[in-house]
Order: sequence, then C-alpha cells, then structure tokens
Amino acid sequence: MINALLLALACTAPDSSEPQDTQVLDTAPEELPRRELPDGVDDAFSQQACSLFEEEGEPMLIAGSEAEAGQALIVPSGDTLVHRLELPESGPGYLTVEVPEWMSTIRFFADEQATYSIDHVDAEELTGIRRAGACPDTEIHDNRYAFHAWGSYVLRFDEDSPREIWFVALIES
Amino acid sequence: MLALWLACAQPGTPLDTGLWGVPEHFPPAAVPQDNPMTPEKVELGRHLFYDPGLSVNGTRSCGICHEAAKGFTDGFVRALGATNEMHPRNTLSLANVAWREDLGWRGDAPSSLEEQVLVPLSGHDPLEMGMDWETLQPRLSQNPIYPPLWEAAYPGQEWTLEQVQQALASFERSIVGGGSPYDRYLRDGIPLEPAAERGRQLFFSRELACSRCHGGVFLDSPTSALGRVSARHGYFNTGLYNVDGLGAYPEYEQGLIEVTGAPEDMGVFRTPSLRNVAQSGPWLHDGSANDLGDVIDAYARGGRRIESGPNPGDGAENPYKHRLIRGFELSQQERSDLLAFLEALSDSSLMDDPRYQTPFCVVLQGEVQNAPCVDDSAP
Repeated sequence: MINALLLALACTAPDSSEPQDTQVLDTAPEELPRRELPDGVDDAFSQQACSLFEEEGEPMLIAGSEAEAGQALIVPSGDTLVHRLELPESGPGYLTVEVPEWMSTIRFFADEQATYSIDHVDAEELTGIRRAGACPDTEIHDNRYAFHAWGSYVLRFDEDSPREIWFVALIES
Repeated sequence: MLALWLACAQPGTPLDTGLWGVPEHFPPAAVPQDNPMTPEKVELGRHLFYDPGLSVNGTRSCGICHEAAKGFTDGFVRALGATNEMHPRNTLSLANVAWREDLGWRGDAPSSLEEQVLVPLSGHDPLEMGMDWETLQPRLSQNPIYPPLWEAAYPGQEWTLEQVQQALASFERSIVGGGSPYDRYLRDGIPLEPAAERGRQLFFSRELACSRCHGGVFLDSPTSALGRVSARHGYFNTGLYNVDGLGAYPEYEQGLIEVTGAPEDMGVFRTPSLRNVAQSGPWLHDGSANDLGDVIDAYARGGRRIESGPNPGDGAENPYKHRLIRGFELSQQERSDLLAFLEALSDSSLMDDPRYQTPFCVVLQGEVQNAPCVDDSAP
C-alpha cells in the first residue's frame, strides 16, 4: 500500500536545465562548495522527496542538547512530510525520530551541507550520505538508516550544519 | 498506615492472592463483582492482548504498546497509534494496574479497566487501534485460535464486545509484579545493595521527600487513610514547563486543566508508580526526559529549565507548581545512589514471566523465540 501511495505521489524530478539559483533554498549557504557525494538511487522515495523540494516545510525549533531532544519530535511519513528544522544559534542540534515499525528502513533527505548521526545500538546507517538520485542537481542528499526496533531515536546534527535545514523522513520499508 | 490500608478492602471481590501470585505485602485489590477472574478468562485476555488483529490495520496490539520488557510501556516519547498518529502523552505502565482506582494521566479516563479498554480499542481522538465490534467480531470468530478459548471462558455464550473488555481487563489485572529487590526488602527484610539502600534513605528523607508524592507500596499517588487515591492529592504540577513565563505547558498537552478548565490545574498530572521505572523510559507525562537522571536533576532544581527547542522556559518559576517541588541539594554520589534505588524497583521476573508473554510465535531470523506458541501465520 505504501508503495502504491508513493507511486501516486511520485512526480518528475526538477528539470536540471533550470537555473541553479532557483533550486537552492534561501537559507542554504550558497557560498559553500558542493560536497563530493556519490549518486543515490532514483527511486520512488527519492522522487517523492525531490517533488517536495520546493516546499518550505513546517518550521520546527530543535533542541540544543540531547537531554532536550524529546521536545522536538517527528514521525517519518507522518502528517507532516517537509520540516524546516531550525537549529540553535550555535552548536549541535537534536531531534527525536519516532520510528513506528520494527525492522524498518527510513530514508532521510536533507540539505546537502547538513551532517548528522544517530548513536543507538538499534540504528544502522546503511549507505551513507548520497546525492538525491531523482534530483542530483538540487542540494539535498539522501541517506538510509535501518532501525531494528521501533521506538524513539535521537538524531544529532553536527555543529557545522546549517542553522536551517530542509528535512524529509520517509519510511521505505 | 500500611495496616490501615490493608484493612480497607475495596468494593468487589479481592484479587486471589494465591492464584495470581499477589505478594503478601501488597494490599488487597478489587475485582469487579460482575467480572470475576478465572484462569480461562485471563488466558483469553492474554491472546486478545497480544493480537494485532484488534487494530483496524493489524499493526497494533495492546501488548505492542504495553511491552513486558519495557515495564509494560512502549519506549516512545509519545505514543503512536495504529495509523502512526502521535499522541499527546507517554504510555503508562500496566504492571500492577489492578491496584489503581484512577487510570490515565489526567483523571478523565474511565475508572474501571473494563471501560478503559474501549479508549484504546475504539477511540478516535486520537486514534489508537481504531476498532469497532462489527469489524472485530468476524475477525475473531474466523480465527481458529479463539473458539476453544472463548468456550472455555464463556461456555455456551454468544460472543460480545463486553466479553472482550472483561477478558482484557482480567488479563491486565493478572499482571502482578512484586519481585523486585525492594519487594524482597519489604517482604523478607533482605537488605538492598548498599548504594540502593543509601538511595532508599534519601528517597524517604525529609530533605528530598520523594515519598510525599510517590508513596505506598507502589510508590505512586498518595492515598487517603482509607487507601483511596485522592484526586487532588494524587495530581501535581511538578514545574516541568513554563512556556510563556506565566506557567503554560505546551499546547499539545496541558494536563488536568483540559478536563476541569480550572486555571490552577495547568500542568497538573497524575503521579505515576515508580515500579519498573528504570525500564519504562522515556519518562514524564510526555516522555520528554530521555534520561532518568535528568528527571532527578529537575526535581533537585525545583523545576526543569529548558534552554532550547520549541518549549523553552524555567519550570521552577511556574506559578502553578506544587509547593512540594521546592528543590534540594544532591551530590553526585547521592544522585547515583538515588538512581540505584530506582533500579531496585525493577521486577525482572515480570518482564520474562511466561504468563505475561505473547502466546503467538515470535520469529527472529527464522527461529521461534518463545516455543511453545501459537503460529498465527499459518493460512
């Protein structure tokens, strides 16, 4: 059913012939060089995320410490798909991801300059950060995490991440 | 005081101490006269409790959200229903729920387990399991597991939703955990480990006074001299938030005020039991603490200060905060001792007792983990 939904939602990736500056979020640090990243897969999930790229997203202040991460919650593939995460003025940012199923794979799409990790015995980064396969000219990346158990996981954005991050989390399986 | 409590039998039939393994040092618990507990009813209830077919889309059972290994909670900050709708509150434990007169965090839940069952089963705001009897009845009757269980529990009777409620409530009442190190201390005088003993003394000390709110054998809401939870005295604003500087809690959940409308009930929630607290994180009414030590720190400070995120503010300055939340001095050693005492409230046997486990086969990497079990994957 999820696949069917994604197929229904899937749309054409943004035309790479468009001027680059129309595809960059206002908040992205344009002066930063693009990261050297391998290409990700162009699949239904990547297409869905790319179709949302122009959406500004629901703003969400995230926490400045792990202890306060329970204040900022997202549910992958939940009611809100596009989040505009606002990090503290300096330092790392913390967000809690509520993973609703056992043995699930979650796809995270975020601004290319954002770096993050989930330090939990039941969370496993599968591919590492790659360019979003369906829209490689946009500055968003694609990452896959496997979660062995359902529950709440703290995602930590590194302190050199942008202060505002476009962010999408989708349940792949 | 314990004697007074023990002397006060609540309405209904007492929970059979021998049949359900009720420890001698527990007070009597009431079983409704119209739903006497039988082993057959409890067994039917155990199957229903762990059956995801009770949710509209087959993704949730009662036992998925009240997992034995997690102290009969779910491990989420805030619970997620069958459609992944996020709930405003953290999942409460079901261990020793037979002894609770008031259910839920805000006092607005039905007062009997039989009625409470309908909240997750059929409630739609928020949606938990999203089930109705018209959908559930054929699902159950077509499942070959149930006819013999039902006949044993309700011989010769037509299947009804009320029986589902009764069986589930009976199973929940059978979840009795009284085998923690603290229970061995209470019952048999077996000393706690030194750190836990130091923590116990702190917990009950005049300075910390944790037991003023977490009282009695269950370390939960204070009770009256007759052993009844007093609605007022069992509910506190503990200074966790102060979003607007005027005492507001986050809009997603503001506590008893949402039930009573009384301004002084802002941020007021029921005092939960501390039994198995070490297993039941994240903690607090909204799961906003992911470290038990942080909860202690908040009480030591006289309220929680949140520096970042969507709900910053100083809970210690919350005007609705209860006067008992006044803060205390605590060294690192004492903090560690207090945590050791909280660990000593864990009943590990409760978490792997076969009576409380799923009857359905749990298969991990192709291997059944809990034989003998019911294979419900067979066509």
